Amino acid sequence: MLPVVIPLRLFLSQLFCISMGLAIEASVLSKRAELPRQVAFHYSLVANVVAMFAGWAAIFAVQEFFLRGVRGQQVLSYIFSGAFITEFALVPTQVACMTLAIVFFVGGFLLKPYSVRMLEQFDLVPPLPEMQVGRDDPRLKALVEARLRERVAEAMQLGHIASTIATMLFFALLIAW
Amino acid sequence: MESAVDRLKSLFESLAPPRLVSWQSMFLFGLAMWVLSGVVMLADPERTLDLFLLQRFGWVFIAGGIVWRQALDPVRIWGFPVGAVAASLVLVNLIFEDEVGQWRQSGFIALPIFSGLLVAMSYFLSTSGRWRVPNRFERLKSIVALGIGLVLACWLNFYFITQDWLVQYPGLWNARIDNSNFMALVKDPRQDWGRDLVAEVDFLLYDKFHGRPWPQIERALEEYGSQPESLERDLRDSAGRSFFFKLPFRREPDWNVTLTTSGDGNPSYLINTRVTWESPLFFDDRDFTIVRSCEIARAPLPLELFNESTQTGLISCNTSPEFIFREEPELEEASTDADAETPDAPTGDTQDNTQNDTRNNTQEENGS
Repeated sequence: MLPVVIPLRLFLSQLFCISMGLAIEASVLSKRAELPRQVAFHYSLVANVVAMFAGWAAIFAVQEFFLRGVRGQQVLSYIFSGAFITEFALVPTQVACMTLAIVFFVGGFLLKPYSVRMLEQFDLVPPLPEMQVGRDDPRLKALVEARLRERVAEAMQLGHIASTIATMLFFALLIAW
Repeated sequence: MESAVDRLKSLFESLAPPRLVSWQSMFLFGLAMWVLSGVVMLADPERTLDLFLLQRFGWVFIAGGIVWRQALDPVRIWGFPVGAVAASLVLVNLIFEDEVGQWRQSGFIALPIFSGLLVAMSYFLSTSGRWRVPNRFERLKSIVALGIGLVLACWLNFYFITQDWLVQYPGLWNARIDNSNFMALVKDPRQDWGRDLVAEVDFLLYDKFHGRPWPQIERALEEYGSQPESLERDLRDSAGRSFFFKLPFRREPDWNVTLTTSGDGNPSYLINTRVTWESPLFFDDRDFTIVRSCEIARAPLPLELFNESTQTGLISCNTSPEFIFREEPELEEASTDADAETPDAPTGDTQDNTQNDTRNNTQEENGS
């Protein structure tokens, strides 16, 4: 049997990042939007799984374009040996990688509340808790619900930022150590 | 405690179809088709009838019954839907198998997607087979199961993409994969166990033949050729002396080193060192072999210094033609470097070395 090369470290680190992000986002959701804990966890779980799949699909979609020419060799060298090739031009590859990272960050920022909203419309995730105010007045009720949804979306985006920063800090500390 | 008879009885009871349209009847129909094909085969020893279609349909119905059963209520072990995975294995085996009997790449990618779909479907079906509206928690669980299946499929797809890269750029095998943040190198541990032995043999060869006086080299070669046990004794001695190495195998028949010489020393000797070791696993009696082809040549000397007593030897390994004239030139370069470094830095990066060893090994197996 010849030795096999598996992207095992990538999968494990993604699993680790996702669990860390889940914990942070769920706690932010339950604190900021005052959701029950279980509902907050389910929201962030669904949002993260959907975002993960969307991110992988985006990577496969741009892969042909992204790994073209020198950039492809640099990225492959980084993936397989952990270092760029110093003889070639380095800046375009790094700029492209940073752009991709920023696009993924912004994509998650937009997609996470949107996916939960969509699944809520199809009645596939647990609903928001019933409000005490505005039981008699439908207009007031709609207003309160809209405000609650806004708060959920804001909390989700805040949680996304917080979990990204925490992950980056963790890996920076790991590298420094 | 149920007896085996009771269990068989309950199994047969669970296979009795409650209605005409049910998974049990589908499963039994497929089973009956298979039995029928067997009967026809017995009745028709000359094979005048083509039974492929009958057997294939039998498999289709059996698989359909299993999948139907698992879609109603997948068998779970510690919460993990083993039954759904097994049913999708059957399904993938039926759909994505090619003529050779191997799975296509898309089959592997479809496996987690099918499993996720089956688990998601099981929440929308009652155990009696009717559609039902699950509660919100179950709907969420079905979404998450589907999403996890899709993400696993993405991981598998990425794994296949990396394998394509390895085929496209074979030089990536030489990369220091240990430094990578993405990839991990998984090796056959049985081969790894022999690595120290091979390094020890390398060390001994360089110690005996590199830069030694020529008559001493010839004497050592003659000794090793005539008395194979002296090579083993020297190996044990040098392993006992050296600080870094311990021979991995203690018992006598576990490993074997033989050395054969050819050539008359003018200009050089060719030696073939064959290192064989058994797999230490008790249930596995495979042998592993690595062959080193080395050339011992006279060291070039200036003419005014030339004298039979000052003549020394140089050793360079893996110089056989089939090693030089093979396809990947990058690998060959790296291998000579690694071999030259082996005696100086024995504990250093042995990964390249092992890689070449395994390639050499497979080459040897193909040749013989």
